[in-house]
Amino acid sequence: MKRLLKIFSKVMGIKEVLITEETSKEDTPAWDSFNSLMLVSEIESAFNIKFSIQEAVSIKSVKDIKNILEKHGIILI
Amino acid sequence: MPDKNNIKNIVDKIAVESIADYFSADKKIEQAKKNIPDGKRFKIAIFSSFTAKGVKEVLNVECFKLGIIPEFFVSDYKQYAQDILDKNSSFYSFKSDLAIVFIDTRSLLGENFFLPYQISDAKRKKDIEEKFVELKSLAQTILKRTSARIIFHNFETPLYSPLGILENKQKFGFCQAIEELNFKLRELFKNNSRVFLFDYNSFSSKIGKNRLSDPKMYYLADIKVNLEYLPVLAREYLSYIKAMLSLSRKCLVLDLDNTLWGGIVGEDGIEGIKLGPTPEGRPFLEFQKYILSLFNRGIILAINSSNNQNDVSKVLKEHPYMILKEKHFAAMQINWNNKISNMREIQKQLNIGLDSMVFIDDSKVNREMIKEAIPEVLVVDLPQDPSLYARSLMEINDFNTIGLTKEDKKRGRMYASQREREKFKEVATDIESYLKNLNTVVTFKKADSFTIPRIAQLTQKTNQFNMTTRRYIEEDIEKFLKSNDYLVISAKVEDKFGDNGIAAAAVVEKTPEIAKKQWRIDTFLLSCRVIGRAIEKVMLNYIIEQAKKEGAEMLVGEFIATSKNDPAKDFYKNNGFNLAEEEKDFQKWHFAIGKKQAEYPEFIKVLKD
Repeated sequence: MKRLLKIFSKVMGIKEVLITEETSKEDTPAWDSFNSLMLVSEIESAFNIKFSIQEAVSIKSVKDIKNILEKHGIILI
Repeated sequence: MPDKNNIKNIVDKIAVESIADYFSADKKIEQAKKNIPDGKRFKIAIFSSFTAKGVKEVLNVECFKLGIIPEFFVSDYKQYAQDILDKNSSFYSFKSDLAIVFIDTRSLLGENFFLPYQISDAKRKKDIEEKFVELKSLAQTILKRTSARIIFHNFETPLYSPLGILENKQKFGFCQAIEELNFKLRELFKNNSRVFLFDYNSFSSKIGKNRLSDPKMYYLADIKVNLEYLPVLAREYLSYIKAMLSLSRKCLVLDLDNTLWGGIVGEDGIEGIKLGPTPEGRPFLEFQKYILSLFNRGIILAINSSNNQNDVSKVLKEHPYMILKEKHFAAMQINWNNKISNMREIQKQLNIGLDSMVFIDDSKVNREMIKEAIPEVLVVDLPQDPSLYARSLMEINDFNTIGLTKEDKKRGRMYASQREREKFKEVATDIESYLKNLNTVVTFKKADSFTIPRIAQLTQKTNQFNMTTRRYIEEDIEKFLKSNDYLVISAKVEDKFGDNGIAAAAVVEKTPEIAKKQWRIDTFLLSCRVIGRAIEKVMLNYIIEQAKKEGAEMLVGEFIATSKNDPAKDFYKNNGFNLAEEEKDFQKWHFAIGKKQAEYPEFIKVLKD
């Protein structure tokens, strides 16, 4: 989870302590479409996986990302 | 001058691991730029046929790390053609130093990328010809309206064909069309010194075309280069930028044991070291071959090794597979001193900047030591495996220059023969006999199209023996020649150790005044590698001779003091000129030609064209 938080914090420019699983697109002003792609790109290289286009489109919260990573066999603790 | 410390502070704090880091560093830099006083900014314009967000950010950070302060014009999404063709576009008020034009194959072909065979071969040929003309006019428009240089991408050849294995049996196939376009672009720009064709097709092959672009990103946002590869792409651009800003390096300093050969010569002996056509010897053999090819393009070579001089000499002279020989090295520090002082010694001997040196050593300890002690030196992080040595040296993009004169190519050789000359000087009993035995030949030539690039280069680069330090570009020299009021000469210097190429030049204005005809020596310079060999005396006498021939009565010499041209300070004084005027850093010296005959030192043979 720490790694994901770090990436998320870097891309969106908000402090790690302020990020929870519930953090979503709606309450994160920096979460625009380009940052969304950058988030996908960063997670892909950090965890060495590839998101499908549906997965990439479906991400709306930190929890969504966690779930997708789980589907790829990465359990965040 | 921008505040160097300020820049350094920011740069030290920048740690970029991934693309998101670049974006946050970019923001910090933009903030910092506001506090850096306006000075010379390097202006870069970026044109692309797709979403190129990120290119500017990465490039901004990478430039900043090198101490370059860039400023950007980023053409809006797909607006490249309008921005270039419309002469009122803000691109033209931006006045860029560099324009990067990145149009990708898909955008270029549009519909025909997926349906290439819906048109006939003849139509395809015609289409690609039209595209070529469009691209050509984009480049030419930029060239005409600005003084910018251009990095122009070529096109990625497609990885697929609807015709599969029959693709290469077509009269004018889909892939062939792109290849032909690339070919034509290369021909078009080959002789243009302002346009560099960037081989994007090779670049994408190196990364892997399927890795370089992520279809998902393309469908989601028309991103054609996967964000994670933008730093690698920026590195390619930096190859050009470094060359344009003369941040190139010109000297390669090499360790020996386990770097140029496998094993330790002091222990394994000349027979025991690994070098030659064996599986373990070939990586070193070919690494040496690549280094030799760098030498042949003008890179100066030096040795910094902890070893016994005799052991090394034996290998250099006798090993049958040693590619690099003594004659290739301009400096050899082979001893048991520490490598830092050796490095400084090499720098002193060659009289080049530490920031123009690259260091190669298999030992991490030595590498870290140099990095720590002399951060100006670029230290290559050589991989553990010798089979990867050559490749990691090929990755260095610091040896690039925007052009290569004949003298540049010979530089490595000239520095190496300078070492032999110095050795010869040590054994010579006195300076006179040294000069006499050098068998120097100086050939004077009036400037022509072959020598103009080198003369301009000398005015740009010579700092020490340079009377006025006036910097000229090729066009300036051409103007001098056209006006007929100037005499521009170059002097080629050869001796028994080799050819120094054109190593001195002068620009003389023939001012016909009413009372007496005066010639003004506008520029008079000598490359540092021929200082102390009376070449300057010979050149002055050549000018006197020419002036006399055309009836001039007086020579006017000028001297403008800089922080670096101390060696030139007393030249006119020591050669019979009288100080006529002096103001701050500027001096004017007079020399009455009268009946004086040109006097050339006996030990130099002078040839005139």
